[in-house]
Amino acid sequence: MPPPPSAAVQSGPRAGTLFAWVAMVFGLIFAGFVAWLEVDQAALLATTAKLQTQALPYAIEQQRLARNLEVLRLEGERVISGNTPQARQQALFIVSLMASHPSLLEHREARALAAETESFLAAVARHGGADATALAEWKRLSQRLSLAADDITIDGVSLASSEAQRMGEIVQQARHKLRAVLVLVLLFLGGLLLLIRKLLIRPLQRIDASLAELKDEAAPLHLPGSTLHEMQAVETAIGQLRTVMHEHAQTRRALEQLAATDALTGLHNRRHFMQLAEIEFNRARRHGRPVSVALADLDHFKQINDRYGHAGGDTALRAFAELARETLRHADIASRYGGEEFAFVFPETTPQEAQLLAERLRHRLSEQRVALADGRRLHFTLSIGIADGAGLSLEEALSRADDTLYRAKAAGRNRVLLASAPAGCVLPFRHDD
Amino acid sequence: MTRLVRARRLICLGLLAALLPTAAAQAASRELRVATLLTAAADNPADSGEGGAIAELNEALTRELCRRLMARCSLHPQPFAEIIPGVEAGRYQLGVGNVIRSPEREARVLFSRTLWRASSRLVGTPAAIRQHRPAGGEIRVQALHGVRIAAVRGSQQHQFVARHAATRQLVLTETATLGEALHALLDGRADFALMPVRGAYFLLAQQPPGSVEFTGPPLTEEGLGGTVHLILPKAEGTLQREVDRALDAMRGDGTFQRIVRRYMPFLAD
Repeated sequence: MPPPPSAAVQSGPRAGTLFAWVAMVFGLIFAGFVAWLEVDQAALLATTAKLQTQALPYAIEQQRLARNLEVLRLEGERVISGNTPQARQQALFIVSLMASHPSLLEHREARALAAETESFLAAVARHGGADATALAEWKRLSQRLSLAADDITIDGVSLASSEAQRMGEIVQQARHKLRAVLVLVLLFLGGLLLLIRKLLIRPLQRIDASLAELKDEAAPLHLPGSTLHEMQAVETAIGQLRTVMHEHAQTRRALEQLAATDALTGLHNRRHFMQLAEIEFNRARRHGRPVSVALADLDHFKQINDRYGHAGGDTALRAFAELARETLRHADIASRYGGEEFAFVFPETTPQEAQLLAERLRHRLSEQRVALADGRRLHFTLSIGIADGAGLSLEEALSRADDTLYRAKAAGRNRVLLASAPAGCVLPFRHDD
Repeated sequence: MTRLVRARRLICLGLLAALLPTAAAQAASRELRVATLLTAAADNPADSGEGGAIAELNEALTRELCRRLMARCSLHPQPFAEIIPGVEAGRYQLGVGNVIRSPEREARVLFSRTLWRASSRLVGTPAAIRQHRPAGGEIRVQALHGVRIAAVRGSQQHQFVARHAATRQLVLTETATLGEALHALLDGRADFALMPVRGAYFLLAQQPPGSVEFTGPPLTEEGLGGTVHLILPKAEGTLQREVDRALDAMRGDGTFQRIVRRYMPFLAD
């Protein structure tokens, strides 16, 4: 298992700081764009104000001036074409009124032209009408008045048009800038999403996968090695959690081992043996497979204790357990059933095959000399009763094996007997020797 | 649903009933005394036709203005010389006298938005014009010496002539109205009359051909030209703003121009 990331590894930037920087940089750039747009807005406002306060009033003034010139020309026509002195005078008064209008007086060319026109028309009125020469002169004057009116109108419109064009250019420029801002915002959002994906989402997904693999102690811990401080802290915590879980698992296994093992011999204890044996019996029953059980008891164990002390007895028990582990197959289940009594389950084994295994065990023990601590050598034997477990419950099979063990003891010990008594027979009480 | 509609109607009617008397009372309660320009002497009914058009134009504009102000206006024709002092003293809330704006007048009364622009010009009989015209040139008021010039009392033209009377040995013939000034000219009591062009036009248009005519260049200097306004007492700032709004609205919807066109065959603003 890889070592968990230590706290010292958490050297990355904090998420808040990183995103604050990102937001600040974006904010500054965005503010720059806004300021850039603000320039256009200010220019637009200034141009609009200029249009409203200067160009349009100027255009209106020029329009009025042109209209006054046109009125003057039309009234001049009435003076020229007037049939009566009364009509000519009425028209002349209007010509005088228009020629006296301040708007004309403020325009140098219009003023001069109006004065010339009024003077000419007054002379025509005084002479009672226009002759051919006067008509030709009036034609020229009338044309000049029309042209002047046109020029004045165009002049007024030109300034407004120029300002309007300027406004259009500013608006167009602002449109381009707005598009640039839009692109900037999109780029920022895209970048932000990529950043969130790289710094948050992907590490979180990998952390999630790592959390899913936490139960599997054998699986290596794959932590993403995140950039952000906070993610690194989470990875560190996961590593520490993994370590704690591993330690807890080891402790649990040790406790399970302790709960299932006989402390002296290292074989299964009776409780755990019963659980394992029950599983094997169920399996055999379910699949119709053979299974055998055996109960063994060291012969004259009390005398061993009496002669060699309890330490000698314990040595005998450990020696037998070791011999059983060496002699029996890996799949066979051996346990210290109680005192000097041992129980065995032989999966996939007929009673006859079990008898051969048990006989081998008995034989090897009968030939073995166990060295004691004081240098003496101990020789002891055992008796084994075997029962066929097929079709029986575990308790029934054990009971039959126990009966057979009794018979082996009764028959002289140091022997292996196979149960043959019919099920259900009443067995006499047996005391442990 | 029907109950809701009925309830709404009742509420609306109630509000209407509550607001109508208030609005009506407000309109009814506002009464404005308006000084208008007397264009002919009150004791000379024969003169009433000469300045009638300009008086009617002023009256039509005033009536429309009062309608928009929701005010009941009483019109009081006054000689020009009485209009500014009367408004200044608060005897009139509004003065409609073709008053040209000047710094001296601004110190005395409030001015509305511009009605139109004005200039002044000499008016004379053909005989007087022939007599005083310099050879190869035209009559200039600044060059006149020893002539009698009629001007309306209290007007800018009157002030102009009075200012130059001593140095040029001018005789100022004071009149109360433009009509009187014209009569002074026709009666031989004055050689020329210095008049506002627009006001003079209305008078001259009534005269037989060859009797009087404009002469000399139009004048705008020394207060003889400028913008023409309605005037209000200094204390009537609120009314001034209302009048300005009403004039803007009148120009905006074309009412102003239509009224002017009713009395003049052209627009000259």
